[in-house]
Amino acid sequence: MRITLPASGTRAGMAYFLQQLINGLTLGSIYGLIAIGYTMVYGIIGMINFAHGEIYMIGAFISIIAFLVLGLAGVTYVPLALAVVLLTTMLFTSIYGWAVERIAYRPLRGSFRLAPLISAIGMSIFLQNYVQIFQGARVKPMPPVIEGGFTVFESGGFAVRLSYLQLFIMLLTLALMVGFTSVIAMTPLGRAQRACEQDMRMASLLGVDVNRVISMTFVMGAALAAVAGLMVTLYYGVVDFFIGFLAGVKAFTAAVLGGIGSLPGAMLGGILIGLIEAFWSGYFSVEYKDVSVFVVLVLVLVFCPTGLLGRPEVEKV
Amino acid sequence: MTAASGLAVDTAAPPSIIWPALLKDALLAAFVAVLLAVPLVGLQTYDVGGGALGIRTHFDWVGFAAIGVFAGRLALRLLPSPTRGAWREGIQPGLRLE
Repeated sequence: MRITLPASGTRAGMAYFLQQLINGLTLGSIYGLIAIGYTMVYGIIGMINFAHGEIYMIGAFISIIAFLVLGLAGVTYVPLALAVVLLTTMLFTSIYGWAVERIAYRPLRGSFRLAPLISAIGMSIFLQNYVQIFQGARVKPMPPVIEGGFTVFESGGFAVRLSYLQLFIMLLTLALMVGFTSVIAMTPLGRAQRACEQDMRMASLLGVDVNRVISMTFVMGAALAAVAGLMVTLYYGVVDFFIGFLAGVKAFTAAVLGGIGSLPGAMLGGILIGLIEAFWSGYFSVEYKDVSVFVVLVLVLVFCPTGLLGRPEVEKV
Repeated sequence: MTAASGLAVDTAAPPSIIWPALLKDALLAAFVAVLLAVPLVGLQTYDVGGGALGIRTHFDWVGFAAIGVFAGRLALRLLPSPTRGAWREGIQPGLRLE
């Protein structure tokens, strides 16, 4: 089937472009939140947590279960339900993040470099199968919770719509980014994290509890992934045990594009990946939207391995 | 005691196990297992038809998981290992999950 797009340069074409921009920013917000988890862990312990995509998937499942439990309890007021689900999902998913670090990575700290990477892949497969066994392999549908929206503008017969859900996703991401940046910049935990990122051994010698800092990094990353899981549940309305893989790899691409180890870079990379995916889907082909993202990964690794906001790795003597 | 060959032989009894600390550690691990298992093992979604989901509880499985983790953690700590010497008296006992 061939879809006729509004001609570029016309007002309808402009409206179509704006619609894709809104869709891309929404998607990018979700990828950005997941990418922060990758980049934080990499920044502090220098490993890629390949189980992070599964943490996001677990967040999506916990959010669906929380909605169902609240529905059974008779909670129908949407803002209250959203707040409770958000907090519950963040809490339980954070415990998963903490447990993954405690079980799969901490015992291997100080081991050869590949060991935690292999452990991460194993943990990723374990979590996928764990959810598949206990929640089933079928896709879990979720009815729309936030409905409605408004027309931003209409031109040439094409209306640019911004749904309340898209607005919620973008505003929540913005609020989380502000809160998260404040934690990193102004709290003792954030200071300890920055110290560990610069020199873990020296931080340890100066009295920083490195194990605790690393655990808290995993907890924070998992909490943000949980929010992304909730958002994707609300946005797409379906969840299955395999969603973490693709979203995880795309978020990893976002972290690499932004410069792995850089927090603003992760968010920027996430938004760019979301925009690339949305524009590719809108103007070229939905079937190859994933290919477009991974082409970006290859190009970045070949031509700009440090990413957009990353710093070149300096070999310490 | 010094043997005739000149080598020192340690005849002291092996240090006793600190049971309260050991049990506390195993209980903590079991509690974490409960927190992990409640949302995804204890509450299971299933299709009720018409694109809707239902939820069924399996808190008995959560209980089994907690018992399993408690017993496993205890067994791990009791198995002889050089790194687990800390759980014996006189060698810096700790209460953390290590």
